[in-house]
Amino acid sequence: MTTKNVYISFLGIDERSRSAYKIFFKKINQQNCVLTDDYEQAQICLVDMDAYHIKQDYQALLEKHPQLIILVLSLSTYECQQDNEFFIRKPVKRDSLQNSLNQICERFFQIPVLNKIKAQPTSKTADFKFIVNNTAEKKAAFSPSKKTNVVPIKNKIRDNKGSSTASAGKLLKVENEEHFVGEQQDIDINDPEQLKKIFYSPAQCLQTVVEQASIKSRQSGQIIQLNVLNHEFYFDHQEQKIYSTVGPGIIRPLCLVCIDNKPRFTPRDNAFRNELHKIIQTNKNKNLKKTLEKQSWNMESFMWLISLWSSRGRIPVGTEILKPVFLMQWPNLTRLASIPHSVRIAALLYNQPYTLTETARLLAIEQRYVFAFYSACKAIGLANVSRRQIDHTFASETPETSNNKSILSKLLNKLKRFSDKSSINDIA
Amino acid sequence: MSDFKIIFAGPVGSGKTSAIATLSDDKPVCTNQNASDMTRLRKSETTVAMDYGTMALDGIEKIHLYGTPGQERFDFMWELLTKNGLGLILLLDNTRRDPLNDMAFFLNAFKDYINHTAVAIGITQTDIVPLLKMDLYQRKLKELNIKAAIFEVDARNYNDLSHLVQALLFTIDPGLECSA
Repeated sequence: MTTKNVYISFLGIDERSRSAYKIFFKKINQQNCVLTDDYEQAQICLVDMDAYHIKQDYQALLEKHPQLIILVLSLSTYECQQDNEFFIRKPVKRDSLQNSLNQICERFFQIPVLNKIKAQPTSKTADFKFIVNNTAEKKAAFSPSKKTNVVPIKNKIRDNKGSSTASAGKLLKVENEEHFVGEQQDIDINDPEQLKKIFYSPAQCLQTVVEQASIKSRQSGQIIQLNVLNHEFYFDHQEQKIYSTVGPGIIRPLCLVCIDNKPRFTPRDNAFRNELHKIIQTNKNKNLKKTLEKQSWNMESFMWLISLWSSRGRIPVGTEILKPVFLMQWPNLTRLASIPHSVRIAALLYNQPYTLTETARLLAIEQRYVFAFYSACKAIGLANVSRRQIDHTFASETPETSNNKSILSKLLNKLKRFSDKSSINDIA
Repeated sequence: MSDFKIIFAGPVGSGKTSAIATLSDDKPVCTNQNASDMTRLRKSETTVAMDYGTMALDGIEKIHLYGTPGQERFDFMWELLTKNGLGLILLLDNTRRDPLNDMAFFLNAFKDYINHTAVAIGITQTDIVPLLKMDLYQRKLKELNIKAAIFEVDARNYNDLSHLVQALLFTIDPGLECSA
């Protein structure tokens, strides 16, 4: 069977977004979509109604090419005026776009669609609107199926205290949780006053100085001795170790101190490594006897920990809260200080980028857990705000759910029951 | 009654038997025999059929934990064991000559199974040969086009294995809730 081509053009859509749509059209195999700049040849035109000066251009397009089926994309609701106009709200949901394309192809071009994708249920503000004269036909053609192949994880109002969702994934009990994730309440990101509360500035904290020392050690291949706030730290990039002369009981409050004095970075030669080994070994032995706090750390664990103590459930100032964030790879969670829900957050963000607040909403957890996780992952170079156009153009998809949800939940319960409380001394 | 399986795979000495013993409610069934081949260089006994343990859940349901024998000559068993499995826990021994190659081999061997379930990877024996760079494993995974959690684990440590199994479960469904 030969597949008929469907020719698609754009109006008011910039190059980067075009590339994103190009990838989308390439990936869908319901139709054979061909992108074209020739409006004469095109059958469907995607119009970005939020583009500059678009109204005049759009009017001109309609007059010159009345045969085109128009897919209007806009952040605000658009009232369709013509029979050939269809509206999709931005950011575009892949399912909605594909579903509308399927329906247009079927209805206007008589191209049958195999394995039709079912539309998401519409909310009060539908993200897909259309005008057809015949109401019955309209219902038949475009009303979204009640049954969807993707189901939102949770849309219920959060109640973190005692709810089963709140405890899912929080399987390792964390000692003094507030030291890692703070106590900040969820905020409304549309309120500028509340928004201020979720940011912290690593630039004025121990976190930045520690990062600088780590970079210096990596670049020089030497051990760097850092003197800051009257304490010493040794950074050995080659062995991925950090040694401190004080333990977590002192380092944690230092993370909240604004550093006024200039820190001192002193390179030490390789011979010093033997001396450091001795100090670390002595320290280890003392640790075993529980007489002293932990003072030697794996470099990644240390950066992670410092970031958690500095951020306390907030995110670095300048983080674009409305943009999706990605997780490059899973953090080595068994060797890092535990944060409640970290496994769930990692699983979700590793699968695809979401905004931080969307992540909290989807998992039905408090925002501070997501913020803390993001700050710590960013500190060790595993997470960042996505710059890919495709992540901004398309809305994130709702993650898949398992058919065996009940049994998996029971297993989680069991794992939770037997997990021990984790403490700082357990980490690498 | 619906019973489900989690499969533990990995090369000889990667800690499959220990992992199952750590998670299982009862003493696991092991089919260890004295090693007679190259395996003897790594350990005196090895699994020849499979390891088996169970985790009883609320009600009458159980999770069956199956450990596959590590030697490639037993690969015919792998397909039999994976039927109706929930997912794969792949354990890799960091002291082996080429653990990255081991990873590629096992991910390829269980490719079909992983495609319709999920996999989580645990790197063991890092107390003997420290794991300086997790990036190497992550890079290899990317080359193989597989998305999976990778953690350092001690197969005798319940918290480590709990993390690993959680990662598997949340990879299957990030929206899971505790049933209580």
